[in-house]
This record gives sequence, structure tokens and C-alpha cells, in this order.
Amino acid sequence: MNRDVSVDAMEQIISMHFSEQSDFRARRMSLGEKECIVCYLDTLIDPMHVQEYILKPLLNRPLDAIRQVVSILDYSETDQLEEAAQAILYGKAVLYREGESHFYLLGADLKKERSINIPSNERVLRGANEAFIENIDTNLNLMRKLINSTDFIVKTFMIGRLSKTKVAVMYIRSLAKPNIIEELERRLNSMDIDYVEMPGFIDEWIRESKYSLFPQMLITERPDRARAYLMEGKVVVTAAGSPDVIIVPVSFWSFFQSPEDYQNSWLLGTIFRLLRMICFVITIGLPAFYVSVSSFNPQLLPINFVNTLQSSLKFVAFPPVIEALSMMLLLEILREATVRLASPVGQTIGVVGGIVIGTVVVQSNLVSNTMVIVAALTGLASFIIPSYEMSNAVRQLCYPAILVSSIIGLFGLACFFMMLCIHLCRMSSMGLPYFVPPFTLSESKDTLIRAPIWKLDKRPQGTAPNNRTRLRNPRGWNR
Amino acid sequence: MIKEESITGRQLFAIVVMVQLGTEVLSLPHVEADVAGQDTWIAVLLSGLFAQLGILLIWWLGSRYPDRNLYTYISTIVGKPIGLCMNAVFGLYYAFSGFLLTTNYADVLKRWMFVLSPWWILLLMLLIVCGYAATSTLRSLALISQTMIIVPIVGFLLITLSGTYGFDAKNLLPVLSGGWNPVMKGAYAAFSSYVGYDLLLYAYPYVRSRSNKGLLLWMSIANAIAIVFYVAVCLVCSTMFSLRQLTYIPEPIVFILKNYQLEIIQSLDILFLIFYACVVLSTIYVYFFLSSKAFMHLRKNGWGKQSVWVWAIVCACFAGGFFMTKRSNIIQVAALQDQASVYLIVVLPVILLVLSTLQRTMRNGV
Repeated sequence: MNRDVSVDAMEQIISMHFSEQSDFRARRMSLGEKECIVCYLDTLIDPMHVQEYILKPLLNRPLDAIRQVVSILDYSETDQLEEAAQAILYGKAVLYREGESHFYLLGADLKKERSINIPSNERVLRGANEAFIENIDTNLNLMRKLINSTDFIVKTFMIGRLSKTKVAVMYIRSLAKPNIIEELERRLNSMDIDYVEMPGFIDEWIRESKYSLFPQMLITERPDRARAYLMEGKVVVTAAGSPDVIIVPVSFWSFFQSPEDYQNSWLLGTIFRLLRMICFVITIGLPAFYVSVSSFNPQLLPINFVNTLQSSLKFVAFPPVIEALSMMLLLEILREATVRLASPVGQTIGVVGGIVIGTVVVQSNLVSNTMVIVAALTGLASFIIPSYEMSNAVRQLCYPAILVSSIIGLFGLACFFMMLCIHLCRMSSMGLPYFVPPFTLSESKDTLIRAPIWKLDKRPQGTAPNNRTRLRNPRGWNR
Repeated sequence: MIKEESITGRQLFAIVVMVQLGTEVLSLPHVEADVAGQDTWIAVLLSGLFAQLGILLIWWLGSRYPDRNLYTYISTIVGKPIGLCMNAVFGLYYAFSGFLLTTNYADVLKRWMFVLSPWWILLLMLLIVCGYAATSTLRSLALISQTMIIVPIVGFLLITLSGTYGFDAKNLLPVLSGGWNPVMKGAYAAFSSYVGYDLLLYAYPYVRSRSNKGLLLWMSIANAIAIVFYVAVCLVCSTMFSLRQLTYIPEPIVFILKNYQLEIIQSLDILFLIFYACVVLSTIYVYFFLSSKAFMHLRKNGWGKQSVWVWAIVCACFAGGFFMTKRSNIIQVAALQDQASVYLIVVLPVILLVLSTLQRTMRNGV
């Protein structure tokens, strides 16, 4: 940049970039002998800030170097016009003084954010009650406050051709596997996209199994949960404008872990975790089991129960498979309606769902009693799974299961479960296997069961291979 | 060499156990009753010990070429043309084994449960699941087998528990009444149930084990578990049924389970047969996998895609299934396959071992 650009010329040059912007302001003033110009977008800056910390000191001490005059922490200089224009878009005030070869970029942006709320989608009874918000700086602040270590690394990227969204990658340097970090950065850098919708866009861009129904990143709004996974060597990705962060790489089991497991005693934690696994199987298999038992293999069940089942099916017009499909569809409609409905009207769903469907459908012999029980149980079981994404995915799996078992009964269901297992075993997350069966005790410690804290002495092999000791001298006072 | 992800010793163990256990658990006591009589269990035990020798043989052969699989080193031993032919033979053999197992199990299912259902649907279901599994990597296969291993554990408990009531140990006597001859014949007949350890021919270079011996140890444990499983099944069946009954019942285990009723499940046999699919399928997909790999190794840098080969094999098997609808057909062909497996898994490795030893000594001598 030339030294001898006059303020008039500079004003024109900058204004060219912002000629159509109604909120662009260029303010001229004289500091001593020299002319000066301050440019900003007045919707982005805090006027109080500019007045108090930029203009006032400048007018008081017009002759000194600007760096020493302004009391702004976010201070930088540049000689690139493009960079200055970009800075204006980020909410900085750009100052240019006649006869100098650079712009001063002074951060004075107006921070508009909601306050930190309690988590609304991942409630727990015991545990921290803070949730991330849309402002990425606040989110990083929350994380930094939870991990006070120089090992905790935050790296930021700009993604989005137009939106230029700030995306941050967090990990713990001494734990995380370098390959995974490299691979993640490679995938993030490959994102060439107009704007970033977090977490959806990033998830779909960097996941490995493109066509899988199962979630491959853990999405959470809880800083304590993010911290727990960071401590296992995993990586947390967050982006501006989203109150959710994503955690990679994850395994199938992560979706069944809840922060509360670690607040309860380990036995309770284990019981709850097993309960969730049982509910996983129930959600996929129960309607299909009903279909195959009532139309293929009634001899499997005791004769008294079969009699009850048959008597409830006696007057029902449709075959069990239609019953099951329609009830499951109904459940899904109810769920979707509850999410979309305004909360004061939400009560209606309870009445409509409970009374109309529960009672009248049975009374009018459209669906059998047993099927209503099965549908209700399936719906409840699916909501037990702590991850919303996993719960949704699992609920959709019951439809193919119903279809297969309507063709060939329980054998079809067994084949379906086998297919599911094969699918899970084939998936991977950031190069690590997605589903590792709890084959040995050490593999089942924090997956199928929640072992006591003093037994969780090793970090997972996959994500933290180099630094595995998690706790030393467990319960050493007791020796 | 075509790339492959490595597996651990433990994973090798799981995969081998699952391959060794197959439909024979259901049919072995019946087959052996004709041959070995009341000494079935001795024959099965002996056969397992022979299989252990076979494992030693393959391990020895593998340790000579620790970073290559059979399909690549066979050409260096016997020369390129014969080696390629052998690869094709292996491919056909494994595809055929998988096909035979599928039809066999579909036949069992049809006879016990799906008398009225169209038979090709069963075959199609089995083949689709196997095909889907066989298109994955060795490590994924190992993970699947590790998950499925729960099924034989539960099955074993069911079988042994059901054998505790109403057995008659006198059925085992007299021991060795016909001398060693029928026992040896029985051991030959039982050998096909232990086949599956030949996975090591392919998997040897991909196992991450602390030492060479650790690998052998895992293989031996897997074989030992298969021996225990088969011997237990044979003991239960021979003590529960008399010899004459056994010659008439093709799947005695199912018959025994039919006898038991729980408060909540009336017929255990159905559940057992259905979930036994997991055990049978874990054998078949490994065979399809090995077959596709054999065909891929027909060219140095891989011929075609694994998935294409697998689905081609699956289609061929489905088409072939229409020619194998009778049980007598399956039994005839199975005898043929028994011979083929002895030639390919026992005789061929011996020849290869001898040849490679000769080559080494020649080279060292010169």
C-alpha cells in the first residue's frame, strides 16, 4: 500500500466495497494535522466502545502512535485492503491515518448472545446444568474453564465460502492420537461449501459410512460430556452459531452412555446401561416378534398366552403385519406432532394419542389389545436411549424387521439382527471400528457395563494409544 | 499383495471357533452312529486331535512365509501356472463348501420348521446375509464373529443342561467293541466338522500376535473348544438315545430340545434352530470371503473387486440351489466335498511344505 493515499481517496476505495450497504459508516476527523477516517458497520459494533475507547483517547492525544492511544485489546494492523474489508464484516472498526501505510483494525464488536441455559435435550438429575450456546467464544470459554491445562488445544478454522464460519477443533494434546487429528483436519479443510450448518453439514461431510442410518458422531450440548470424551483422547468440534458440539471418533456404545451413569453408584450405572441395551433390542425387535409369533410361530409361547393372544386377535380384520406397521406409523406421527406442536397445545396430543388411539382403536376392533401394548412399549423403549439421533435411527429399524418377519417369521428376525450386526461391524469412525463387541472384560468395562471408577484405569486403546494410564494408585488409601 | 487389515490373536480365535462349529453339531451324532456306533465320542475326539495336527502343519507352513498368504506364496513354491490353477481350485472349493452348508442348513430348517414355506426364500435369506458379510474386510469378519460367539455359548449351555436329565450312560458301553477300525472310519467322517482351521492359510500374515507361538496357542484353544463342543454333543446324544434311535433321527439335538418346556418358552428347539443360523452363517461367510480372495489373487494386483466376486458366488449358489432340493443329493455331494477338503487342507499343505523345504535346501546347497 502506498503511503501517500489521501483520506479522500481511501474513503472512496473502502466505500466501493460497501457502497450498497446502508449500515456502513465512514467517519472522518482531524487528529492534529492529519486527517483520519474510521470505518465500520454500525449494526456490528458497539457504539459505546468506539466512543469511549477509540475516539475519546484519539482526540485527547492526537499526536501519539495509535497503538499506544487506543485502549482496545483486540488490536491489529494490516496493509491489505481485502483484510481490512473482511475485518469490518467481523465487527471491527478500521482506522486509517493519512500518510501511513497500514490500517488499524480495532475490535469493538457488539456481543449479542443469550445467557447460558440449562440443557434442554439432555436432562440429567445429577450433574452439571450448563449447556453450550450459539456463541462459539462463550462455548470455548466454558470448555477452557473445565480443563485448565496447557495440554488442552483449541484450533480454529474458517469454513464456508460466504459465511466464513469459525469452526473450532478441541483436543488434549498428550492423549489424542495424532493420526486422528490430522485426518480430521484434512477432512475439515476439504470442506468447500457456501455456509456451515452445524452439526448437520459437518457430520455428513466427514462421516465415513455415507448411507448408514446410524449416527456416527456424538452430538451433545453439555460441556461436561464433551470434557469426559476429551479425556478419552477424542476430539470435539464446535462451530459458531450452534449450541451443539460434535464428538469424534465415537463407538456404538457411546450412544448408550449418559453423564448420569458416572454420578450414580457404579452398580446403578451398570443396571441402567444394561436397561438401555435391552431397550435397544426391544425397540427393533418387539413389533417384529409380535408379528412372527402371531402369524408364524405361535408354538413358541406357552399355550395359555397363545390363547389370550388369539382371542384378542379374533375379531381384528387386518393381518398382524398391517396392524404392526400402522401402529408404529401412528407412534411416529404422534412423536413428530409433539415436536412440532406449540407447547400449550401439546396437551392435546396426550388426549388424542391416549384416548382415541389407545381405547377406541381397540374397541372398534381395528387393532388388537396386544398390539397396542407392543406399540406403547416400543415407543417408550426407544426414548430410553440417551442420544436423540440413535433413538430415532433405532425406531426406524423396526419397519424392515416387521416386513422381514412377516415373510418368514422368527427366522427372518434372526437374519435381520445378524444383518444389523454385520452392518455395525463394517462401520468405522475416523478409521477406528465403530462397533467392538465386549469380548473381553477390559473391552466391556465402559461399554456394556459401567465399571467402578477405580477400575477404569486405562483409557481406550483406539483413541488414546500412547498415554493409556488414567489413574494411578486406585483407592491407595485402603492398602 | 492385496491390502488387508490386521487382526489380533483373540479375534483369530473367535473367527476360527465360529468357522469350526457348523451344521455338523446337529447332524454329527446321526452320521457317526452308522459308522462308529457307541464309540462316537472317541472318534470325534480323535478327529479333533488330527485337526490339531493339521493346524500344526499349516502353522509351520505359514511361518515359512510370515508376510504372505497362501494364495501368493503358492506360486513361488509350485510355479506360476500350477499356483494360479491351485488358487482357482481353492476358490471353487470354498465357494462350493459355502454352497453346500447353505443348502444343508436350509434343508434342516425346511424339515423342522418351514414345511410349507417356499424353500428358496430360506436359501435367499441365508445367501444375502452371507454375501453382505463376505464383502467386508477380515477385521470386520472377526468383529462379527466376536459378537456372534455368544450364540454357541448359550447353545452349549442348553445342550449340556438338556443332557443332564434322563440319560443312560450304559449306552456308551461297550467301549471299542468293534476294535479301532470303525473308530478310525468315524474319525474320518467327523473330520469335515473340524474343517475351518484352514482359515489360517489365508490369515497367517495378518495376525498381530506377540509371537509366532502365541498364534499357534490361539489356534489350539479354538480347536480345543471345538473338540469340547462336539464331544459334548456326541456324548449327550449317545447317552440320551440308543444306537438304533440315532440311526433314524437326523438331528438328535433338536429332538432332545423339543422335549423341554419352560414356563415362558414352549419350544426351545425352534429358538435353537433359528439362532443357530448365526453359527452356520459365520461359517458360510468366511468361506465366501476366502473364495472371493482366492479368485482375486488370480492376478498379482487383484483381479476384480471383492464385492463383485462375492455377489457372483452368491448368485451362482442361489442358482445351484435349485439343483439340490433333495436331501439325498446333498448327502452324496457332501461325501465328495469331504474328500476334497482332505486333499486341499491336509495333503496339499504337506506337499507344499515338502517342496518348500526341498527348495530351501537346494538353494542353500548350491
